[in-house]
Amino acid sequence: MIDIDEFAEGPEPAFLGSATVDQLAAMVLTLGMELSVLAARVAELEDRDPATDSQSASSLLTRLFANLRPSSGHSRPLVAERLDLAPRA
Amino acid sequence: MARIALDTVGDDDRRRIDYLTAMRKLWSTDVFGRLRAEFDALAEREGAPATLEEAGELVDRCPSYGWFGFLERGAQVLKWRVVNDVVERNWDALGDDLRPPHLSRAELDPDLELPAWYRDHDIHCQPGGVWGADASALVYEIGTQVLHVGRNRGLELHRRFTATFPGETYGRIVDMGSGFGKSTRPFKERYADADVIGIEFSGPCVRLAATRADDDGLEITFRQGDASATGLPDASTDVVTGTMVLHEMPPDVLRATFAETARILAPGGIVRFLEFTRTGDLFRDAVMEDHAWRQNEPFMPGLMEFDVERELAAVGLAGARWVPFDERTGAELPDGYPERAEWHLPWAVLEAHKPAAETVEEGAA
Ligand SMILES: C[S@@+](CC[C@H](N)C(=O)[O-])C[C@H]1O[C@@H](n2cnc3c(N)ncnc32)[C@H](O)[C@@H]1O
Repeated sequence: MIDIDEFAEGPEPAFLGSATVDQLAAMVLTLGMELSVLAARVAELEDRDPATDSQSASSLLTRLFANLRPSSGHSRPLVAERLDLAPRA
Repeated sequence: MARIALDTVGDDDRRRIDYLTAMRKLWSTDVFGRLRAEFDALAEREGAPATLEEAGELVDRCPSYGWFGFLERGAQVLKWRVVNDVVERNWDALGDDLRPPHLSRAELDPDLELPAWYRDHDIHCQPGGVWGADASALVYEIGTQVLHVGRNRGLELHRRFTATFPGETYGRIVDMGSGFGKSTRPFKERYADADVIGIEFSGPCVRLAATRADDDGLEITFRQGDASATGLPDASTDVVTGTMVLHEMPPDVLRATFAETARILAPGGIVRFLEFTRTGDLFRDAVMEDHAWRQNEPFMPGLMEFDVERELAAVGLAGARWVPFDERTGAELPDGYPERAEWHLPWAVLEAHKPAAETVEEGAA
């Protein structure tokens, strides 16, 4: 069997500014995955259509993505600053 | 259709895989779309880039690019963790898929030394590669299912490629880098009378390929070996093909593989590899360049730079060219790629042929 940690060579590349931010984001996505499993189990217990399971995975992800992406919450000023697109006075 | 490893997983694991699939989808549509809009806005303000390097610099400055890159690699890393875990928990059932075949052949070479360029990085970020342990082939098989959603268990793309081959019949077809046989089986399906041979470095993949072919009632020879030194006789095959294998090779191995291809091809034989090439859309091409690094595919840019016309001519293969390929329909796109909103791999067929033996003129010495 493969022991993944045996193959880990140094830190993963950091895309979100620092390795710590990347690690945190990865944890949130993993949590999201486990939440989707739980949500599907609840759906089953409540006798809901299993087809909604996959929908719930993607709507969960849409919310996660919206909140996780680096510019969320201040996306306008950040994008505007970077692109210099702020409305001119 | 025979059982595949994914059929073995329980409901919770299936949901984890569904989640990963949904994540890829959002990344390739939403996040990619946002990135493109940012890039276009920058290009409009500052002038369109003229080179791949300039496009790369511009895309680096897009606010969503970090997020795009993180999600591409992060989804991949998470995928392998999940799939490794799935295979480990289901090993009692899955290990049996490496049993000796009865119809197909798995020709293993326990003395084969895998070269350092192949061993030294984990391709596609799969820990231990596709060869590190018996389980690797099964992990790889499930892993491909996460990316190729809803396409009839991943064989459809390969069947579409196989359908583009011009011949009605072939005597022998060699599939270089055959993996667990996904690219090889469609050839035997279409050309039932042909002698179909897969050449593959990874022993576990060779074993799994033979089982899967067996289960589908297909008689194929999978041989553990090196695409650049197959051991097949000179001029013994009509077709040399391969899917997603060339981009895994460094330039000197590429050269050796084309020389080997020319050697084993009979005069008049054809070469068709399904691969990736530049699209001419500098934004896409810049993202693709980085994709190679994010996915641990260090030799991909080298393939794209490779002068196929000159290099293949040098080993005696004529008419080498890239023909863009629409993976959704199987259409070849000689006029180039259509506009698409979502991220997609720039599929293309590298085609060439070995000229038919020149007829010796009467009276020639
Ligand atoms: C991305 S996989 C594609 C597998 C298969 N063709 C498919 O489409 O599913 C590439 C395969 O090529 C194999 N490979 C790479 N270089 C090779 C070489 N020089 N000789 C034999 N196999 C090679 C790898 O082990 C891997 O299984």
